[in-house]
Amino acid sequence: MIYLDYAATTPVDENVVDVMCQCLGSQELFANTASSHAAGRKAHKAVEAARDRVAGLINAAARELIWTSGATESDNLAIIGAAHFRRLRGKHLVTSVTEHKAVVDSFHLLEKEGFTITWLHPDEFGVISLQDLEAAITDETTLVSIMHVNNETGVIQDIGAIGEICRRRDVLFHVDAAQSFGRLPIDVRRDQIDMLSLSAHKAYGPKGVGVLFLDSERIRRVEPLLHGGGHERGLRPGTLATHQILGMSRALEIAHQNLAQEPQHISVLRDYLWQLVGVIPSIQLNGHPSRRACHILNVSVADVEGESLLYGMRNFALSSGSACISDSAEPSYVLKSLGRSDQLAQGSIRFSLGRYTTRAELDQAADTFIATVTRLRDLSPNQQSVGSG
Amino acid sequence: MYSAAVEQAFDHPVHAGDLSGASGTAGSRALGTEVAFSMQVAAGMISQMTFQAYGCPHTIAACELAVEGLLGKAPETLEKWVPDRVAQLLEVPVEKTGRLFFIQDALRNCWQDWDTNKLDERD
Repeated sequence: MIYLDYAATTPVDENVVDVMCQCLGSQELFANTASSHAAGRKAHKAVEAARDRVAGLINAAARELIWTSGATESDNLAIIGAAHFRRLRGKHLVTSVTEHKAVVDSFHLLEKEGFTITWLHPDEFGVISLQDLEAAITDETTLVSIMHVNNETGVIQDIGAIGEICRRRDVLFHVDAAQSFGRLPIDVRRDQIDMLSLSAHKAYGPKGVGVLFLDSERIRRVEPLLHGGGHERGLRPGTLATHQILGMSRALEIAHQNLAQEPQHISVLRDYLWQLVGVIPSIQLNGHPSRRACHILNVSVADVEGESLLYGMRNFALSSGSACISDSAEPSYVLKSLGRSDQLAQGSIRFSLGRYTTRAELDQAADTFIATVTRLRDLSPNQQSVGSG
Repeated sequence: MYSAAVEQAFDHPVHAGDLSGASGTAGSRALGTEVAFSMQVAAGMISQMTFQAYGCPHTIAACELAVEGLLGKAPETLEKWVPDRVAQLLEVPVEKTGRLFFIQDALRNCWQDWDTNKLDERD
């Protein structure tokens, strides 16, 4: 099995595994960080050191980070928690139709509760217009949430410019950065980000842990989603998972150290893959031709059914869109928002590359992809659609 | 998710293609499934039959098995074909059995085309 699904999740780096294992077993780091005994204090110290290190990677302060179970929880806590806490200031929120489901469904929940949502639509390349965004903000708007890098297409939004607009209009700005950490630099001060969601498992860390950054000057509180303890300033109760947190910290440190070389290397591989498969007739690149994160190549091929295409590629770990929705037969809502038809959206494949991807693997993937597309097209009826019966 | 029978028929369909003769289609790309059958009849029996399919692996495999089962039978068999046996052989999940109705419709259309236009080939 050749793994080309790094946007869905990444393998845990061996160095991270070592760090995590040191927190398990009988060593003192297994203790509850909230306990006052020596073992608890030692675990607490390790977690706070990890918090400090992660904060430094995004130019935040340690006190501004909340440990969560992952980016999905961070998104929920940021969006729902901030909207609830600020509901007396206004009940209008702004986001885009191409956000991750964790964001989209959080806004749907708020919509049911009586909030008004403006759903921004991207252009054909997946880019959100800054003019549209600014025009959507009203006196009632309390929050804008726009992802940094789209999980299906890899398209990069101009979060620096969006941050500037939001700060000028005094609206909170939340960014889902699950796909961008380790692939693009993130600086919450420079980009004027008020809330930022991160996940460990997209960056060679463990699953089940994430971070929510809350700018201490702009948003001191959000309404918690969970109740039952005073952990994490009362915003996210629950015993801290020391091994997960230290694993995340190490993974993000490694990703950050590699920022100067790794994304460049992966983008060369991604462009190489596009060179190989781009020769297929009627193949379309989904997303912006250049404004994309290094690791994602999403393509649609006409006249090929998506499930069969994926099955023909079953010796490769791939997604036919977002891994989070690939169990569904529904065409990708992200690709449809780019103007792709249902058929083209279903006939799409997301190749996502990572630290361990090799050129030889991409040669194999491209050969199989071209052969599968050719075979399925040969198998298809030539005539145009006819009714059943 | 896919049985060994689906894998075999999907990877190595021996009856894929198009023939001159009676034909029938059903479905559409917009519906996610489009199938076409064509056949030739000799001495009152289906002597040659092929399929074309745009659809999921189960659909492609079911077309292959349908043709395999119909070769050598009387053309009228197409009109009576039901997908149950093929669904069982391929272990088609319940939620996908609806797609096999396109195969049933296309086979009926193929029979109708033969019955209407190919009378001189009978007997």
